[in-house]
Amino acid sequence: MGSRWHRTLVCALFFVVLANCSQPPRSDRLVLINGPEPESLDPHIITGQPEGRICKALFEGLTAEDKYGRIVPGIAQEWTTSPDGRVYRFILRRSSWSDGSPLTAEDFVASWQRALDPQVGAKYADLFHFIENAEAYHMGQLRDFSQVGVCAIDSRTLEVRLIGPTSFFPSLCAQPIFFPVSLAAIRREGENWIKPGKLIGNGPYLLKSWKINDRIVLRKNPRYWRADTVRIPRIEALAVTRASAAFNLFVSGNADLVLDKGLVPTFFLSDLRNQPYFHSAPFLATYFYRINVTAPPLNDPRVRKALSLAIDRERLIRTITRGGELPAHSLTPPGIPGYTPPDGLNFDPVQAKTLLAQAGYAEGRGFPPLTILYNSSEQNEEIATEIQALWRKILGISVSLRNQEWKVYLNSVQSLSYQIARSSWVGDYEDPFTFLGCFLRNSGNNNTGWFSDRYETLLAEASATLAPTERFALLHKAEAILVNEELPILPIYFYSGIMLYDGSRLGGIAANLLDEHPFRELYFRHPPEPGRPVP
Amino acid sequence: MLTFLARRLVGAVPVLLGVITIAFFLVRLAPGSPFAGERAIPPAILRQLEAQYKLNGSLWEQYANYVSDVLHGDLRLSTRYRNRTVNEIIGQTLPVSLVLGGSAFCLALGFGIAAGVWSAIRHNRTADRLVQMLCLGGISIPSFVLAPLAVLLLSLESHLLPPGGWGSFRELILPASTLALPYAAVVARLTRASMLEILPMDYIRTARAKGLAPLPILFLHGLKPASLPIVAYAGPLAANLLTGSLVIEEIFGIHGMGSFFVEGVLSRDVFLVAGVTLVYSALLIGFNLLADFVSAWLDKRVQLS
Repeated sequence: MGSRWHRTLVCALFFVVLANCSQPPRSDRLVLINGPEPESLDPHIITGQPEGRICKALFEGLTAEDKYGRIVPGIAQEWTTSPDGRVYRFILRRSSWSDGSPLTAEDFVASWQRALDPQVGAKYADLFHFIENAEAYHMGQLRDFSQVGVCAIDSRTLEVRLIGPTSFFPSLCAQPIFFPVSLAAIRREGENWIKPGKLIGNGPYLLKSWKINDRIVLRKNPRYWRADTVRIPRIEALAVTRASAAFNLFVSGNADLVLDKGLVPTFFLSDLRNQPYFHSAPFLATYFYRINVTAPPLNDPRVRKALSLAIDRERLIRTITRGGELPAHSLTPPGIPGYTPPDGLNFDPVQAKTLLAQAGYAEGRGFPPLTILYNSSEQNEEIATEIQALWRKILGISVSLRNQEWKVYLNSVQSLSYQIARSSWVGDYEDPFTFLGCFLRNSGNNNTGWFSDRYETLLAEASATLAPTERFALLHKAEAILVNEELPILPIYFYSGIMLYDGSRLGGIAANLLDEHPFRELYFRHPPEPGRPVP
Repeated sequence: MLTFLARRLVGAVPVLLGVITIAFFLVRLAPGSPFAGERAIPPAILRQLEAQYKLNGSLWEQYANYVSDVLHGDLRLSTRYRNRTVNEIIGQTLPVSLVLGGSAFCLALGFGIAAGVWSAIRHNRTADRLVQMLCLGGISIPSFVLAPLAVLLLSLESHLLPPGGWGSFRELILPASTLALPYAAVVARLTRASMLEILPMDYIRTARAKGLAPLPILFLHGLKPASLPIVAYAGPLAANLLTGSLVIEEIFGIHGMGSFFVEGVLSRDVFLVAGVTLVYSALLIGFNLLADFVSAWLDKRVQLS
């Protein structure tokens, strides 16, 4: 019996020793936590940020973002704009696909045709609608692609004709939906063209392996046109959805970088914020309440204004979100170069009461009960509960809460079967139009039943205006209708992007509004240099 | 025995068909489209997508088409993980769940039976009470409490084991043992109760009187008949462990099949849900059948007919 115990003990000790042989700090590969399993890696199909990050490593468009989120030349080495701002001419650099074949302007035309093909069903294809006739082709009303405003002048010159001066068009070209794809590979492999060993890309990295719900392994692409600037030879992107699992992997040294803001445990954010590895920055996204303006009492702008004036946003972000978010009084987040959003309505209980009284509901008397709809999540519930309490206290109205599972909630919002619904919008490009365009009468993203002729006219005028100052002034006026006068939405807060990484070890990453952190810019500082400022 | 096997297998077909039917209609009738997202898609594009995934036409047509595809072994393209077939998703993730569940199954049976036998021979002594107490703890602490606690102590505090991931033996230890623990406790209690019933029997005393060594008495004459209830429990247990490790998979970031079931429902991916449910049901039927065979082998009184 004694010897058996002895053996067990030795065995246990062996395991302890084995387990303690932890790996030395990696410098040849970067392990990052990317968020949920990508729905696809087809740049024309994807919609989410985790997918976008991988796609931007595998492909590159005419332009690209740098670590500060600025637009820099990608496959296009330069571009010119016609005096009216409607024709862009991109000069492509000499570059090749990962299989060695040259990448030409014709490849871009064919890829954009595929992205617009109704058969492909690309959900972001509406970003092409700034191009002449693109919308008609996308909706299947036009069959002849040669009438769409894209053509290859020669193999290295691409001309794009737009419906109006679109100053942000170069930043659209950095979006995955504008990436070139190898049509030969798609024809050859069908659905499997995005699988490891088959994918042909043109970006800084190649797809080495992709294990579903586990990890994507990327290897440096030696044929990438600026491969000499890519410093990390191998990147492993882990698919993790649970915040605590992501955090455990990070603090135990099994991951170098946590990129998804949904992957930071919220319950101890206040402690986490003081850690040196915690990085947060404003993000081009807004959390707001949508109002169904088609039925009383919410069809009265005074009531909507009163509701907005009775929300203490500062308190919400201080006590509930706690991730460095900013209170929102406008739809467009601050920080877009050249554009200042309108001031909107601040917390003002007295004025809120006055407005509600003017609408005929003094002290909330006779006000029918309201329901706030939100998709099931702890934070949505906490925010709705807080607002419910504020409205009851300040306005004297009774509000009930209703949560629905994501798809049911989407169905309710899109069919206007709600009164007030929690919503959010992430900007696709750095321009107020990505937010303001949602509330055009015919936008599929409006979902409030609200429209205003003045708003439509202002946005149309802005779209036809070339000079940025005048254009932004028009957009500012339009947004003021949205957040100062009519309020089909109640802005609540602007999101912040959160990342976890050790700045003394990992470089090439910077805070930016688009939350874009291109892998090609990342590098390890080794040996760690003490005292060096983190960029 | 062969007729028994054949009859059970034939009987499984309508069960599986029923499972697919229920899964299909529940998901298709739930509100919300598999293609809906925060960003609106034009109706023309939505119709195109529905046609591409054969979700157009009447519900009955969709169903009939789907069943015919399933009978040909095609579980279709997932609508959530576009470009991936459900066959591929199951093919990649089922082995992971099988390894995790299989290890937990061995641990649960191994530790459970050992603890149960030990507890039975030390009946009403300190060791027995200790095992009983541990079992009660094991049964009552849910895995979503136990697993994070184990990660905190064994991984984040003492750096003995990795807190998550998959691929090496070290990464298997924590998830497999936290998954096994509650079941090991149940097995231990079952074994103890069953052994306590067998050990005072006359034939055991006769064996002892004839001078047989204590270990053969305990294991050959005692445990073999005593294991019948354990075998009956092991069939559903195996199916449970192989398929129901969702919580553990999530906590340790393991890419098993469990999470696809939930994700499939949430994203209204009817083919993913039906495919995964089909595999689960087939496993459940298979393991119950296996348990019947093992019972018959252990106890000649059990007739397979």
